[in-house]
Amino acid sequence: MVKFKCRLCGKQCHDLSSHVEKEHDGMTTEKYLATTNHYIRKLHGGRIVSKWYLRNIEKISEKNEVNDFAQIKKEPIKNHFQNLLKPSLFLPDKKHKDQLLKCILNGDNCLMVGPTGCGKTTLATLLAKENNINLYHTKFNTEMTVSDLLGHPIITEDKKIGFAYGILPRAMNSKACGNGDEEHWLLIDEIDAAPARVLFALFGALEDQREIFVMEACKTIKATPNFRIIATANTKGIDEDGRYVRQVFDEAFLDRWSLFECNYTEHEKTLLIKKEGIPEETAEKMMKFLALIRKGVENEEIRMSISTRRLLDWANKIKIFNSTRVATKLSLLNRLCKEDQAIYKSLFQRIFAREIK
Amino acid sequence: MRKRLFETGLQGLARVITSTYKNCQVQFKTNVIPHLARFGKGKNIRWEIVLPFLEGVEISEEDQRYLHGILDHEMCHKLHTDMDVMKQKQPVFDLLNVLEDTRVEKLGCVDFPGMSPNLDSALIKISGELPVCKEGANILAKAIYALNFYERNRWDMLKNKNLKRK
Repeated sequence: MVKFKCRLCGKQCHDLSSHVEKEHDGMTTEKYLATTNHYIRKLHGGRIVSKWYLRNIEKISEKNEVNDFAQIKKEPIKNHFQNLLKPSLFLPDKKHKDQLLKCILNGDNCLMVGPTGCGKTTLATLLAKENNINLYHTKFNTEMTVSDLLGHPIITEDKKIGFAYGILPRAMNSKACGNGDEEHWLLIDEIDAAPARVLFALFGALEDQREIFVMEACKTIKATPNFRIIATANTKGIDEDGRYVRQVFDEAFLDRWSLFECNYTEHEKTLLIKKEGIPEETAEKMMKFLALIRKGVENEEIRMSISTRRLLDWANKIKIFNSTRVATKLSLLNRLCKEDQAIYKSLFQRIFAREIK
Repeated sequence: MRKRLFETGLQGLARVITSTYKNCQVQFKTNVIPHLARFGKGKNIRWEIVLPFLEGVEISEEDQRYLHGILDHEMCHKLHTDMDVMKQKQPVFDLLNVLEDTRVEKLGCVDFPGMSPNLDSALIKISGELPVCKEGANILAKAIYALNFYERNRWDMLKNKNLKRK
C-alpha cells in the first residue's frame, strides 16, 4: 500500500486524510490541498528550497547510490523487440528508420528533431503499433509542471486523499502504479516547449538505471525492462540562425539521448498516390509546387512552408471536394499572409493552369 | 488588387520560379521595352526583369493578366535562354530574338502549363488587332503584317520539329 508524506509535519502515513484531520487542528482535506498545492508550485518553480525538500533529496540520493557497478548495465532486451526490424514502414526514409530501430534495440532514448509535420510522431506511433507495444503519448507545453509529469494528490470518491500518478511513472511501470501489467513506451511531443524543471524531472527515467523517486507519494518507480522514451521537438532550442526560440537543451540533457535530425520524407509522392489515392499527374504537379515553395522558404522569399502533414491534408481535401482550387484555398492559402498568398496563388496558376480568385 | 502587393507578389514569384531569389529584382519602368538583363559575373550574377509601369493605386484584372504574361515571357528567357548566345549586334539580335521568344515560351509552357493563357493575354494586348494588308501595299507594311502574323501564330509554326530544347 502506498504511503503518503504529510507536507505539514513530514510524517508518513497510509491514510493522509485521517492524519490531517487528527493531527492538525481545524485542517480539512480541502484546506490541506489548497495550502500545500501552493507550496508545491513554489517548490517546483525552484524558488523555495525547504528543509523538508532537502530531507527528501537526501533520501533520493541514498536510494540511488550504486555500490555494484554491474547494476548500471543496461537491461537485456527481450526477444519481441527483434520484431522491430520489419521493413514494412516507408515513412520516414528507410535509412533513418533503421538507425532509430537500432538505437531502440540498444536501449537508448531517442530524440527526433525536425520541422513540423515531417512524420516524427507518426514514425514512433507506427513502430509501437506494428510491434504491439503500448504507447503513452503526451504533449509538453510551456505551462507544464513536475506534478503533471510525476503525479499529484487527489481527493478520492470517498473523500480521502489519494495520489494520481503522472504519465511518466505510469509508462515506466504500470504495475507499481496500480495500472495493469503491460509494458509501455512513452512518446513525448514538443519536448522543447517544457520548462527546464520538467526536463530535469525526466533525468531519472533517462539514465541507465531508469528509476525515479516520486516525492509526494514517497515511492521509487523502477522502469520495466522494455520501457523507452521517444521524444520529438522542432528545435534544440536554438534555430538555424542561432536565435533562441524555445527551451534550450543543455549538454547534460542532450547527453542522455540518441539524437536524430529528421526532415521531410522522400516518399511524399508515393504517399500521395498510395495513401491518398491522388492521380499520378496531379501528384506530380503537387510535388512540383511543393518543391518550389520549400525552396522559396529556404531562401527566405516565402514565410510559410508546406509540411508533409499539410501536403496530406491538401490531398485529402482534393479528394473530398474534387477540386484542387477549393482544396488549395482551404488547406494552404487561408493560413498565409497576403504577400505569401499572392506568390502561392500565382505559382498555383502556373503549375495547375487554374486560377484561384 | 493593391498595386504594391501585386508588384511584391510578382517579384516573389519570379524569384521562386527562376530560383534566383535575392539576386533577382523586378523593376517597373515607364517608356522602356520589357526585358531581362544580366549583370556581373560568376557567383555575383544579378538579374533584372523590367516590366511596364502602370499608373494608379489599384490594378485591374486585365492589367494583372498583362503583367503576368510579360513576366512569364521574361522568366522563360531566364530559364531557357543562353544569354551568351544572345550577345549579338542589332540586326542579328532581332532575328535571333524573334526565334528565341517563341522557343522559350513553348518550353516554358511545357514546364508551367498555366503560363500559356498569360502569354496569350499579353500578346493580344501588345499586338492589338491583326492589321489588314491591302493589295499593293509597300514592303514595310507587308513586313509588319508578316511579323504580326508570325507573332499570333508562332506556336502553330513551332510544330516544326527542328526547334528543340537547348
